[in-house]
Amino acid sequence: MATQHEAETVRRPALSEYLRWSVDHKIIGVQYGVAAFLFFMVGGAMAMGIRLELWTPTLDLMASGSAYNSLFTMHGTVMIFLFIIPMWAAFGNFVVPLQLGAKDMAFPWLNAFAFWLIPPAAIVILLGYFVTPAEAGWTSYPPLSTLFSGDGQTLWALGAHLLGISSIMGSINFIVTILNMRPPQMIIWTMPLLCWAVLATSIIAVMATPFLAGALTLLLLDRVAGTTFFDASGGGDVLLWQNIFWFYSHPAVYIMVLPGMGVLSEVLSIHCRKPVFGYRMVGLSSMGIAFVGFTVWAHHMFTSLQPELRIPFMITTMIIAVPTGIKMFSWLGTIWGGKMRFTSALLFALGFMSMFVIGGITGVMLAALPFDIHVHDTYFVVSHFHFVLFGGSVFAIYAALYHWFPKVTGRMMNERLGRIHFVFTYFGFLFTFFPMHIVGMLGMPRRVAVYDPNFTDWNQFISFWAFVLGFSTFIVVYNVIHSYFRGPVAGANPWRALTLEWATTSPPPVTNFDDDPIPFEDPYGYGTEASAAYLDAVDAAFSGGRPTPDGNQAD
Amino acid sequence: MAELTADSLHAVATHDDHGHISEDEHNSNMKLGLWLYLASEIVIFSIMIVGYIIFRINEEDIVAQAHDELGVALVTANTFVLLASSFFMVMGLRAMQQGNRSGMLRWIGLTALGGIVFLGGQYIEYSELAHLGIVLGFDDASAWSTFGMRFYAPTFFHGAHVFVGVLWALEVMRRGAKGRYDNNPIGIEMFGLYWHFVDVVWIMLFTLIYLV
Amino acid sequence: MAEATHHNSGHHSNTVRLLGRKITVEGGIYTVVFGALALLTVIEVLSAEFLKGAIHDAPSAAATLQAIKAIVLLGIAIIKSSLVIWFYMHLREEKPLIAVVILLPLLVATLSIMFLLAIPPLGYTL
Repeated sequence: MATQHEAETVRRPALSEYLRWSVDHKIIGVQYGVAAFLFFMVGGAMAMGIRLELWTPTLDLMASGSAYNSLFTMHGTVMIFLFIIPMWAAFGNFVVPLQLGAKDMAFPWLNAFAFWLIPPAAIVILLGYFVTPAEAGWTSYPPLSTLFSGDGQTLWALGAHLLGISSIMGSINFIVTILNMRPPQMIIWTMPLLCWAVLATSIIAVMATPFLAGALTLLLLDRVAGTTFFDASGGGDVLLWQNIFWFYSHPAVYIMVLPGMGVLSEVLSIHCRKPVFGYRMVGLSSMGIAFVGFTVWAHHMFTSLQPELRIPFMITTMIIAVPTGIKMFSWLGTIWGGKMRFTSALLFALGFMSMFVIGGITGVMLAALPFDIHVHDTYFVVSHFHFVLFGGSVFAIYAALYHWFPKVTGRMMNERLGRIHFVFTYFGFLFTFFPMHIVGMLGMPRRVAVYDPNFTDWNQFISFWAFVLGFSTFIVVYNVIHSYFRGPVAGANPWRALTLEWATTSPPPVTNFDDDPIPFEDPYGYGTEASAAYLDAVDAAFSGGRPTPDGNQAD
Repeated sequence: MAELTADSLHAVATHDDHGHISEDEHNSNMKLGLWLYLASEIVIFSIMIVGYIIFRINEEDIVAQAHDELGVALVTANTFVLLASSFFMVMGLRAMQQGNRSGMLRWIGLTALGGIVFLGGQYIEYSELAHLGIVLGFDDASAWSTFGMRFYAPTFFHGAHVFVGVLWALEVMRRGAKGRYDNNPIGIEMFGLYWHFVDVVWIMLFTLIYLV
Repeated sequence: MAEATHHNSGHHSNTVRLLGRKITVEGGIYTVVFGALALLTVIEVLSAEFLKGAIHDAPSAAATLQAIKAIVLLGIAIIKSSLVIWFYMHLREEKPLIAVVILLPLLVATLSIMFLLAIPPLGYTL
């Protein structure tokens, strides 16, 4: 029961523990994170290949248009299925049980199983690249994916199926953990906003991912068993795939960004020392996005759906900007008048806000039917979803990394490198993707390797900044490795944050908390005497609980 | 809160001192988790079913012909078998909750048997359909053309669930025989939820595919 | 702790009150529900066969009869499913949360099916 003494003996897990089967949510979280980041590098390398090919308006790097097709197909698949979605599982796994004061996830074994489905799935998908690669884009529209693709497409579907199963299992785990394992003092309205976001995400995943599973099953049957579910020449229905795929994939867009929105609320509040503005509305807007997200899918099909359905989907798509706007104004209200500390985490959070708002506005532009038909299938669309997925999700992932790295490893990250990383990422991103709006409106189609030579200057500008963006990734890799071994010791609560994950040692002991922790009455109640007293108590309780310099030994 | 000190930061453990969660919490987690799994199954089955319904609406003649060739006798018998096995299942759980282990083993055994008989019936049915020339793949030459895949995909997907259920039932019996569920029959209840769900899916498939 | 898992032991009585009469049967409510399921299945198959014959005999009213048939049969199927979920899956003893967990995907799935049925299969029909 002597918490203070036990706390001092906490140690970091040996690196070999991360390579083994483990049911500890903290180990699994890091496993998810490292694996997903490796896939980010793979997908990023593919993006560099794409930009290199587009340096000139003719085919030069690639042997054929097909090779280019398979490259962007793999880039999209790896980034979405193997990077962003598992990356949020990483932060969810590590942080959510700690924020709830729980000892582990509800189903530790299932948790580990869900993670270990990812490596085989990744191998299957990437193996496809070495047979006859999938060329149908990550959306895999038939008949491209049925009649005009090789065995790689079959492997793609198998791998995506496995990842879907993994995602469903992980989400069931999150929902049960969040709903059933809160400490008695924490009602749902005093739950940290990351938990709200992960709960909303998981609800979407449980109800939407099976659509993908069903569609992929039919696609696999079409490819392997000779059925014609999606083949119009055999009595099938091509649009059926598009509809079912977007039943899943539009909600999946929110799977990819909602946790990032949760991270934003955490990071902005903690690093600006102010309560979250409009806590309830932020929590409810996560749920609102989750449910409205199910009603907008057909805006991906404005040019293939029958015309009378366009207006209803245009309206629902614009409605979903409302809960997103609530969040945006909540973040602004949180920053307003706060004591901002410009840490790397806060910089990336602010980067998210500025970039995501552009992605959101172009989203509303694309929802407007006349405009959409004009820029349909151009680089404007590419720009829009990169602003949402990179400017949104990836910036939030970086913010989360800088914010929780001290808790995961017990070491602070290098702030100077973090700022350099931010500058390179921010401007690399902005100058890569913003000009794509312009070339898109000028009419450059997406998914082509050979383009009108008039666009050469723009494309070389874009490619140059894409390489800068690619380079910026190595800064954070270096920073992580360097800080893991040499970073200054973090202590239990370096940010003086009120949520429960900071009320234990860094890294937390195997059972997370030596006794059941008492959450502070308001997870974001910064700036009051009571919260200062609580934070002082946390500091006092864990002042000795620091890892030893070499990180591997007890005492 | 100002008088909060380091000692009062941690409550004395309320339900557990050993890093395990309580049995109640465990049961509640397991049940919620399984219901969530069933929730996702509903969506998968809805995709399987919708393919058939679209076909049913567009190709009334082919479906009517299939109904005439097949009749409802075999599939009705099969439905009864599955309904009965669902009843056996809930009786097995009831027996265990009353502390009657051998009764539980008997009932779950009957449940597994019901599943096996159902699969046998499905095998006979598929054989008959094969004789009629209804195949899974698209066959332009056959008058049945695309009926096969619309029919086989949902029914086979359901049959696979029954097969998994039979294996699960045998595993429940093996564990139950060792006394695993004597104190906490949650394992039986979990299997029961799955088995009843498979039954519910069949009730809908039976109506939508064979009767309507 | 084990007592808590037997919170439903009250439902283990062999006596069930049904339509104002007390019925005593081995298995209690579970047996009664099984009887109802069996009876409903018989009614369902018989009415399907009857309506099929009626459609065959009166081709002029086929569309109406077909709609009636679909509504009647689906209604019976939904009653049967609800019986299984309510009694056998013990939904009646669970927290309301469980009902939400099962109703939400049902709603999503039903709306999706309705949508896919409502649009013409070949999409663009200008």
